[in-house]
Amino acid sequence: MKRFAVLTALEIKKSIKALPKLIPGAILMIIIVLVIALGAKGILSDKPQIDDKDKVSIGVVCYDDSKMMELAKRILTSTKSITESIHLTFMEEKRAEELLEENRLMAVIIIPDNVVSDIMTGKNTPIDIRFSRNAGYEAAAFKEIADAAVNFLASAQAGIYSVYDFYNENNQSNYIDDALDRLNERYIKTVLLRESFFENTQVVATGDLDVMEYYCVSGIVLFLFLFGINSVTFTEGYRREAIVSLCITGTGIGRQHISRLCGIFIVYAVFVTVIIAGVCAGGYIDIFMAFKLILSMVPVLLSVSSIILFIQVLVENKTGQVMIIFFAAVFQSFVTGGFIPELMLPKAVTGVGKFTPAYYMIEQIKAVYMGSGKVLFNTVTLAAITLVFMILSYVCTKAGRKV
Amino acid sequence: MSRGKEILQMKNIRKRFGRHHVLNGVSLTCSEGSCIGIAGVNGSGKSTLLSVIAGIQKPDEGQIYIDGINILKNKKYIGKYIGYVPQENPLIEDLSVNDNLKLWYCDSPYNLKEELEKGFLRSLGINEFQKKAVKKLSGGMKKRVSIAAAVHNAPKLLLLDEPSAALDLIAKKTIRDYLKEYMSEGGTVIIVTHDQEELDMCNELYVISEGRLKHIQNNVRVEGLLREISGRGQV
Repeated sequence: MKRFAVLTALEIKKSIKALPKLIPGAILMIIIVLVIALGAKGILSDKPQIDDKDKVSIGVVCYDDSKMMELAKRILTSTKSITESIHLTFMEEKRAEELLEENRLMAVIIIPDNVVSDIMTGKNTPIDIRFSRNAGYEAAAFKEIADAAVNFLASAQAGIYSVYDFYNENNQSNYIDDALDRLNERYIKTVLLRESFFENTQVVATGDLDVMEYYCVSGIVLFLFLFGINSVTFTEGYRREAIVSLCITGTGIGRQHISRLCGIFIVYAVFVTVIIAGVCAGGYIDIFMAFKLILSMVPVLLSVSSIILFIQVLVENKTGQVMIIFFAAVFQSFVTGGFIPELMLPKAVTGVGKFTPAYYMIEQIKAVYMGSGKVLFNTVTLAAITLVFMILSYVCTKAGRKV
Repeated sequence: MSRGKEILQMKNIRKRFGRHHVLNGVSLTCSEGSCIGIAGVNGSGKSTLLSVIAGIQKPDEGQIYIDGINILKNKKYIGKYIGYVPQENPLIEDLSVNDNLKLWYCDSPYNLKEELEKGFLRSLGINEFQKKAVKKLSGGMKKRVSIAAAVHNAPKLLLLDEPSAALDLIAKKTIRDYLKEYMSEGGTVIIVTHDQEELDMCNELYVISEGRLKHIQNNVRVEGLLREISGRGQV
């Protein structure tokens, strides 16, 4: 037992001494994972940006200086869907005419005085829209939108006429002005601030997490596997003679593997703790979440360490170990949606993914981050995975041959 | 040839791999403080014989007694009575010599620090390179550390599998000197070797052939041993 304790301590010491050699590889892998995450975010979530030069330039000449019009102008110029595709400029009519003539404006909208109050009272004051001679398809499209707006206003005015008719029929015409004011106020607020009446639900291909979070989580698991390459490159497995000699002195294969597992685990634990502490220091997560993440990573790190140990036991040759770890990392990342989101993968592929250790590692990190109740289930599953790979390592070593 | 009480008794040991009988009724007795030399062609079963005595491989038949204890039934005594130096070193390559020795000497009757300063570890010359990583050592250095690891528990019987293979003259002499010191303190050595200097150290010599041990004259030269091994002529 004493030799087992000394062996474990020496394995941990060996790993800690190897840490400086592992840092460059770790940094490189973090960069690769971040590039994948950021690249995927760009591909999956960003809408195409329209440059200012590609926006449709519209000049607005406004003679209505009522408060309602001011409100409408403010709402229009701050509405994202409008500002993303249209460049609205308020200007004098003379200047607008010049720019239209020079084809620097696609259209000019001339809003006469009292137009808002006229709409409210049901008076049809026309809004003049002038197009550039070269506007072509854009003008046709704009005309369609303007027609739709007219129809929209017509339906609103139908409501106004209904109010007139209703109060007149009931001999209460003295209430009409007050009722119209209140209705118009509500109508303007309701129509122009339409976003507030819809539930803002973001639907992303990456499921419960947003794209960046999703790729960071699967990136962490990819990093853990790829980091195993680093570990096997800088550390040697035990020679058969060492295994046998330790067995003779009472430190059996199982204990030797537990000691080696501790050595691999400690390297992971140091790196993951430093990374999480960095993320916490950067203000991306609070200290409580950082603590929870570190704790929840223990079963994840134990299972990935047991897999790396098994590969070291299975294949003596370092090149073989590196190739197997690389293949295992890439394959698992692919089938668990680490490269292409799960929702976009065929069911057969995601079905396979659910039988890989990486799936439960991702689920564990997700569960802790999102505060769902699956943490215990994932912890138990990861503990079982660790046990299975430790048993496989034992059997492989006991058989005295490399499969 | 016996100098003290019998420390090892092997009776009718048989071991086969598939259809190949590697050990075919081997019997051997060793006394305290003696040195037994074993020679034989490659694949004749020399290393298998040592690994059977060391408890690494289980014989198909036969019995092995060390100091009167049947070690095939009491395996826990193997580590207590036997030190084994395999052909390849049993060390953990990533660790330093000091760390490897710490691992072996953690439950040793010896004080590691003292032995490195003025004891047998110093006579093996290990104090000169104790801080180096094992993977950076020469073959001779590794062999010396392997011997140091094997004798951590002051074993009564030391098994060495070709300890001088590929070593330079100085390394060979250091090991020989240590073995003489070990035997002078009552230790028993079984050594698989073809090295003349080591053969000269032995009280008894055996050749293993067709799975059997054949006792030969102990002042044999390597040339004579070669004839004996190849079965051509008397020594």
